[in-house]
Amino acid sequence: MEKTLKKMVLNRAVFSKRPFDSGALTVLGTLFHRFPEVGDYEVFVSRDGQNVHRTRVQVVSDNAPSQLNFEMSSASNLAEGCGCGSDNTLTLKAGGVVSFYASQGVGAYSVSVSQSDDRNKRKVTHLDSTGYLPAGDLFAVTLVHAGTYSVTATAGKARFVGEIRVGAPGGEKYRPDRPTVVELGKDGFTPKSAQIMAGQSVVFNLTQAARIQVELAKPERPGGSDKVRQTYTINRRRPVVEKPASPTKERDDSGDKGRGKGKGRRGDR
Amino acid sequence: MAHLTVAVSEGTFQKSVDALVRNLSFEKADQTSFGAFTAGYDVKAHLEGGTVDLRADNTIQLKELDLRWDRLKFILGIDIPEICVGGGCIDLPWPLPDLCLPRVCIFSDDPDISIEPDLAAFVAQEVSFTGSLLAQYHVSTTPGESNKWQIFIDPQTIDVDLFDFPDIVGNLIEDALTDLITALIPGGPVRDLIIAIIGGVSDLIRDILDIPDDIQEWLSDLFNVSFGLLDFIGTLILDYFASENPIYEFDDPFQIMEASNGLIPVRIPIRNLDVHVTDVEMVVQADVGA
Repeated sequence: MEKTLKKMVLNRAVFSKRPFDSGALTVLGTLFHRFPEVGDYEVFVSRDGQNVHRTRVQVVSDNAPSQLNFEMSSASNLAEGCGCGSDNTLTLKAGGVVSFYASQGVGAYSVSVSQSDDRNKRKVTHLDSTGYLPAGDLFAVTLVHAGTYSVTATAGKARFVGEIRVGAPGGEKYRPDRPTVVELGKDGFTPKSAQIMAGQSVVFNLTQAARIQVELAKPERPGGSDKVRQTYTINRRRPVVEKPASPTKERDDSGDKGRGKGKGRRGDR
Repeated sequence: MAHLTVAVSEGTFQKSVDALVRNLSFEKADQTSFGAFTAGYDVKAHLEGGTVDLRADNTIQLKELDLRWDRLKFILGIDIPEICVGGGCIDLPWPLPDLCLPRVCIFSDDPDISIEPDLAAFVAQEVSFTGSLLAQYHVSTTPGESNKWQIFIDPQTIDVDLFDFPDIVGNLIEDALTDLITALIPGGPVRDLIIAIIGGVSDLIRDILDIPDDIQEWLSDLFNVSFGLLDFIGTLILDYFASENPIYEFDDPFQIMEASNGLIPVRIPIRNLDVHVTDVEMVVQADVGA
């Protein structure tokens, strides 16, 4: 039988075990920045500290989508040798959000959003994701490794801690597109502990400015942490030793020295 | 009363039919897109055997003709749907708009797989038809070639056995697809996650192919209905016997004496040729025309 398999590449970045940080956006981390006011905004996307893309977001009162998605790993109009130009404008409805995410690669991204204040002749920075995300923004992480993740939010001098338990997916009702929302307020995370399945997302809704970090603290062992290891034990048959006819002292001629007298075990996993 | 009468016994008629049958073979290939998958065939077949029954009602029956598949390739290509994590939307309190998360896909491209099993060994079909004999006059357009009286078998109805694939074919196809899809999926926790997303390889295959029950029934339906292969075979056999290949033919004028001693050959014109069968022989009658 002839079989054909089209070659394809695994998106390995999806399965890397790096911590998530709202200050350094990587694959499976998404920043939602809200644009509440009508106006023209300038957005810079940086990869590993270098500006790689500049775009303009025009926020209008109507006739525009309330969400735009910006894929950062393919955005590079400022990258060396690109020559892509910078005349690209996104139009968004006031109050809407732009989601910034990377779908592949190992780069760490950051986003800055600023607006020119012509009256005061200065630039107003609304977002610098390397620092705190402003209140009203959201940060989402999609977790693919089962285990327990620690979540830390830094907001000024305050530091809040939470937990996400990620179970191995299974069962008929599993769907990865079921995100869980966690609020971050002045009292910390609500709920403090969230439970999801691997491949699903947790969205942190910030009601105060903060930086969020998520790290796999305790990976689940393959096969499940609660499972009892099962072993298959075989008792080795010991050779029969005939006693000497007139022993003055018992001898062991079996040649079995040093092999131990306990149970032989095979198939331990 | 006819001037000429020729009778052919059933045994001789059978030999003439055998010669016709031996020359019938065909090839065909086609593919159709069914959305999530592409299915097609690449086939070659010939006819063998068959028994002739001349009947008293002036019909003939040709039965148990074996349709032998020299090649019966089934071509199946599947587009595996994107396997992604994340995604989904969240409701936020008014006036905030709802948010939708981006999905990040596990593979950099949509995987495609295809298999081409040759199922010739698993299919046995027979063809039978009932018809009558038909005499037709063929006017030659080739210089130097005589006109001809031709006798065709004119099938009225034809029966072709449906494709009926055994269970083993269903298993063969399912196993091949499962092997290919499994080979796509890396090991370790990645595998667990992908399997969870797709809900199991077997379920994925059935979802893509939209198979409600047994895969071999689905396959039989494809060959019997969707591909239109039975219509093609039936039409091909009908045309082969009824209009393309006469079982007997006679030149008109018909030579009854060869040229000899400086004399030209003796040929007589054949008119009003008629053919019919009894339950034991084929009878051809004709007049010698002016």
